[in-house]
Amino acid sequence: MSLDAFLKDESTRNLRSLLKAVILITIAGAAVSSRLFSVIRFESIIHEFDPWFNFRASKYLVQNDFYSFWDWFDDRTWYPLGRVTGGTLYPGLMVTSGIIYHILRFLTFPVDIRNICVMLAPAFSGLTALATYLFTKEMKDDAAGLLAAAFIGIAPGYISRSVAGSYDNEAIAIFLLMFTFYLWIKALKLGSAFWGALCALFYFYMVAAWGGYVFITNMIPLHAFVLVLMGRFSARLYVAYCSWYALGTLASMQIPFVGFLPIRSSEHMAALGVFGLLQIVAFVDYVRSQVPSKQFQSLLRSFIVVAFILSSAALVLLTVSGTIAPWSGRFYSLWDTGYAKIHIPIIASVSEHQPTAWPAFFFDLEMLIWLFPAGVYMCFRTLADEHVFVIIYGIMASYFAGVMVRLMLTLTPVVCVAAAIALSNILDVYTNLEKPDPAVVAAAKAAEEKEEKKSGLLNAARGTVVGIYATGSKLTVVGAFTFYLFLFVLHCTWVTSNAYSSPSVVLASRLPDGSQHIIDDYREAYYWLRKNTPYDAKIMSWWDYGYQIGGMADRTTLVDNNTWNNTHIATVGKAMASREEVSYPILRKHDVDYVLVIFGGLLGYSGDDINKFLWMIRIAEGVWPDEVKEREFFTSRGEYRVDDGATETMKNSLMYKMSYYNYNTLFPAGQAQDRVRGVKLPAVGPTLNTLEEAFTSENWIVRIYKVKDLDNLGRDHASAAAFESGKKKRKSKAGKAKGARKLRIV
Amino acid sequence: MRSFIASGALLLTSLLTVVSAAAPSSEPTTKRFLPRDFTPPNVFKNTNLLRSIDLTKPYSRETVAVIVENISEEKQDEYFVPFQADEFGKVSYFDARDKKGPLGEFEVNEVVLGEDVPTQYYSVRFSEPLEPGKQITLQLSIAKTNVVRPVPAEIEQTDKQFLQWTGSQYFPSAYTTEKQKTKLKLPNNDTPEFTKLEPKSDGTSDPTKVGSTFTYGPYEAMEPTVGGGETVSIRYEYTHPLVHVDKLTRDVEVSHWGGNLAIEEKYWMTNHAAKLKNQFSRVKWAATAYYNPPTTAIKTLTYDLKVGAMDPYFTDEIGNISTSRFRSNTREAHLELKPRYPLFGGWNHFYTIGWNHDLHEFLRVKPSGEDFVLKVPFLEGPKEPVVYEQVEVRVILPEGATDVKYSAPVPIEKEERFLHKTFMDTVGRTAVKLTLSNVVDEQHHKELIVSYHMPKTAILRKPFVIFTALSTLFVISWIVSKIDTRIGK
Amino acid sequence: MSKSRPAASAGAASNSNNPLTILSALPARYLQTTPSRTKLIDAFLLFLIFTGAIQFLYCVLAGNYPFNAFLAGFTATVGQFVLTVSLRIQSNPENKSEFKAVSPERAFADYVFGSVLLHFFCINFIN
Repeated sequence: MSLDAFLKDESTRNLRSLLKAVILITIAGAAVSSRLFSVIRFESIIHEFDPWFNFRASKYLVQNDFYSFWDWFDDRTWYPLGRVTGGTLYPGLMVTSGIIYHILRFLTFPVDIRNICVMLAPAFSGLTALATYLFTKEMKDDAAGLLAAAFIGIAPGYISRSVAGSYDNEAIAIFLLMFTFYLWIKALKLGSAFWGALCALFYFYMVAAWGGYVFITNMIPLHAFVLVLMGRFSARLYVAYCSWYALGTLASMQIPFVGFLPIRSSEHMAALGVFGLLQIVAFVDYVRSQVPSKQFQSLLRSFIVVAFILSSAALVLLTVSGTIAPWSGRFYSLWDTGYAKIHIPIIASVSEHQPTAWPAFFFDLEMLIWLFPAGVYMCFRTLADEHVFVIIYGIMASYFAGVMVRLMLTLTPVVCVAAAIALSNILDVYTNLEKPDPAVVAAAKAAEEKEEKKSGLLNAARGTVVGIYATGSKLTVVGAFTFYLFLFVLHCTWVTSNAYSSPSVVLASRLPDGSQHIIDDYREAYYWLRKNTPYDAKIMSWWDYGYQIGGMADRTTLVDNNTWNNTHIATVGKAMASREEVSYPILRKHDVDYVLVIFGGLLGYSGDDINKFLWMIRIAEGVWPDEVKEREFFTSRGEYRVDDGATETMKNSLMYKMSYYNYNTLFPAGQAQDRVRGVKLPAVGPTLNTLEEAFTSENWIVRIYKVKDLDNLGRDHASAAAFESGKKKRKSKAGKAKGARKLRIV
Repeated sequence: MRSFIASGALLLTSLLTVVSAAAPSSEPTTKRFLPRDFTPPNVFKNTNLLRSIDLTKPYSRETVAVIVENISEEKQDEYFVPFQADEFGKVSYFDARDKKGPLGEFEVNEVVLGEDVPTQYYSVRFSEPLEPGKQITLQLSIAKTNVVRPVPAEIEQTDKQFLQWTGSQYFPSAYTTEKQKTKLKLPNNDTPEFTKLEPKSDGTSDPTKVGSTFTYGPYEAMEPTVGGGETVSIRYEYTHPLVHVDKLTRDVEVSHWGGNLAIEEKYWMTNHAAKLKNQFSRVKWAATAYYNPPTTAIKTLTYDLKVGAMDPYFTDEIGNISTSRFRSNTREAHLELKPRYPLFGGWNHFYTIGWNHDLHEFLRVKPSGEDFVLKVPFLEGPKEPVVYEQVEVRVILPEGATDVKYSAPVPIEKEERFLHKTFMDTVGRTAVKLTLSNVVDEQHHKELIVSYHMPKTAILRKPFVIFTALSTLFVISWIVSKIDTRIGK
Repeated sequence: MSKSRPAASAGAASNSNNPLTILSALPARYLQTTPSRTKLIDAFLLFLIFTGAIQFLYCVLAGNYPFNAFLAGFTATVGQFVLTVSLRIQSNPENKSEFKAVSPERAFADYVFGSVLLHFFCINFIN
């Protein structure tokens, strides 16, 4: 029996589905295990910044019940404002892990919520592989589906957001995205309200899980709209779309954070517009089916156009009048990459909101990126409704990925799908074991030659017995692609292991003898805060560390990564960027007990606060242009310096002082080195009057300062400090004279 | 070492009694209830009493050797030692034995008189009554916590620390004492301050100081005294941390299936050393890293675990603490922990450590095959001097274990029995929780013996449960797949 | 799809191009060709449109104070409307070619599923 016959035979159907299941499970296993580098190399720990908040929220959810989570008002962040956390987060992630936690607890498995949170992203990546398989299967066939599943399983573009410990919304959102799209395609193909409703359900889950749900909200209407424009309106489209929209929109409004946005904000208007359009088109289609008069049809067609224009006009009018919220800033920055830099520095200051560099595409997708256009082309060749979807998705996602680094994440699935389609086409052709009948070949060859003369190569490809039969060319192509695939796996593993598996809370370095040395300064300092400061102490730091302080140190913070209140962040920026005399009242007014700064100068850790300082200044300048001026932090030659040549404003800023306070005493006189900026520091270190050093971590990465109380005698701190130091001098002189007696005095 | 062997011998005997006793030891405390107005009958006389107080650790260890004579007409078997109420609460342990004779360890009971009685007693019961006019040499070992405090209470980061011990001039006794003296052993002879009493009759100063030892007395013909005469205090250098564990929980989990004994301990730790006068300075701390002077900060904690300890872990609420080292070979299992940050006076830390053992080294199976005897260390703390305020030891036995009896090497204050549910348990594992307070590190490495009965069928419960669950799942999915859900075909 | 229907082409042949005549001929054609079951669905659709209109009118006249209540009511109507239209389309024998996988019974099951979901969300939304 030939292999092909074996593969298509009905009697082996069970065997094949078993094989498919085994392959899928293997892919899921590979997807999970390739994400475990960080757990093996470090430990089961939550990574980076945002995941710490999600983790904290999950802990809150499992410790309290669902309703108190829903109504959670968190007074330990954004002091003194607090945050209505229950209403300002996407609860999908936490609820998911909460449910898993309770199920496992019910089965009496003593799992820690932390381990669930750490392992959630890898587990869901296995599901994503499954969803991608289903999606691609709808596009082409099982083989392409399996390939796509394998690709998405190990593509670094997706791994970057889903390694173990990366407990972020994206961890489950990509699965939901692909599964929602799969259900949409299924609904569209079958014209089934059932699948449409399922699609809406998963859309609801997606809305609950990630702000990126807007991508679905616009992709599906766009697909429907393009189909209508292509003259492919069908009753199936109507059923699928309307059941999805009616249920999905209603469902999405159940999430408090989303609320009435689906009918109020511009991002959601496309979906509503297409919904209306489809009603009209369907009605007209119905009437047309009843009355097939040509003139009348054109009349109706113009009616559609008029209605469309009218409704868009109404939309614009509503937007202008303010009933419908205009596009939010983040979305503007999608269209105009320079927008954020000018208007919202806080968005621009996040590195993942920067435009993507070209090498990143290759880095994250390797060979998939050049198979991707081929796959899109294949979609054009068999242009069914679902292929239109892949094409639109591909175009939109490519654009967005180019604009913002983090949106590479939405591009990766479609690249995997398209690449799988392309590759599976190639393999279909080149691994076909069938040998043509020689007689037929000869006949066909003759016919082919004739035809070639007539209409060129392209038409010839449609000939009946065209195929590749030479073993040599088959082996070459298949061999080459096998090689590419191996290379792809190698690349993915390398990228994952080197670029995406660092928890960033724990840093690793190599000792000279090659053993791993772990730099654990963050946790050292956070744990110190947690254990040795009052429970209600307020910690001021730049917003990057807000979530980590909340999660690891369990102390109240002023600002955190939620960044909902720009003014509050600017206040912190101003306190950091101003002179002590200006900052101290700000600190007092906000009841700050401790100030935390990150300083990498000793270790050469470049992600420190001095390097982020410019953003603090810019954000503060946005609110207080008269008091904080970016210009004053640059030397007359426009340099950003911290050494002797630093400007007075720079040297007197609280951030500068806190970073370098006492630092020079670690070195021989005049030899203090900043290893990040590679400069020699001034011989005399800064003095601090209103703050005192409370804790500095082992490698000086985290420095914590205590805000002094008001002076007892009502002096300002500078004069009090001057008085003290004068007294100390005198006292130490006296001490020397009477040193011998000192022991007995006490 | 000797005491270890001795206690081991004792444990063996107690093991036998426990195992042979049919009734479970449900009343773990050794308390005696007496009326409120109780005063010990004046039936003894202390002929000679030597009291040595060892202050080389941050709590006091008193060894009192006393020759007791029965001055009554009858046989006597109960000797009372009085304490003032606040001193009574500081007693960590109180042991008594026959120092010279063959009687060995004596039973010691806490006498319960009521809540607010100013004088409390320990009673020592001789295993053989003392004949009238006869003598016995008693040796009392008493450890007291909270008897020292750093003075001054705040010091600089690199300063020396001085502790002040406060106690009594005499040994408090309910009986007349003919002759006694108090010796204080200090860690070194840097003692800037101590209480000077009136010179003795022969004109020598009281106390006398020889090296690092102070001697108060000898005093003669003392009437019974609870307070112990003058309050004496002494201040001496002690630049070491005062490790104080507010709470320790220790879980010992037995798994017959895995052949594994898992131990997990959680420490809520504070350093009771002098606080920092100024804030912590990393520069100074880094400077001392090279020549390693004595410090009041807790830098490391070393554990000598039982040989054969495996897979240790050291974590806290926010994950693994990466600064631990474990050295294990056939002779030792040495665990060295470094807290995330040096713990200065008043600083806190919480951590969890755990490790595994091969169960066979700790569990004996009786010939019946259904009765087991588990012998594990009751406490295994760090080598550094430690005071535990509260200790909870939980022994978690396999599911289905019954007839649990135990013999603890120290008096237990509270015992709780409950079921602990993990890993696919249906009824839960039998567990015993033993609570005690005010424990010092002297109690480390003493053995806890637990015996239990577990029928052979109980061990099959888990595979049966798993098998049933899986087959139910399979049957349900099979039924579901067979139901025709198609509509209208 | 409309071209394949003989009834429609027959009707078209006899009519002139005047829109008004076409419109006036519609009801009669409707009554003539539509199965009674579909008519029932259409009646329900009419009712839904009517309900929706009243709600909207109320909203315009009396204000939308409990906005989520209004929204829940209105969306319930709209959602029910589109679901019913879907049912009508799916169960229409003329659309058989479009919906190979969906039998009328299946369509009704879908309809029930969708409606249950819709009203669950509506009730949840009203609070």
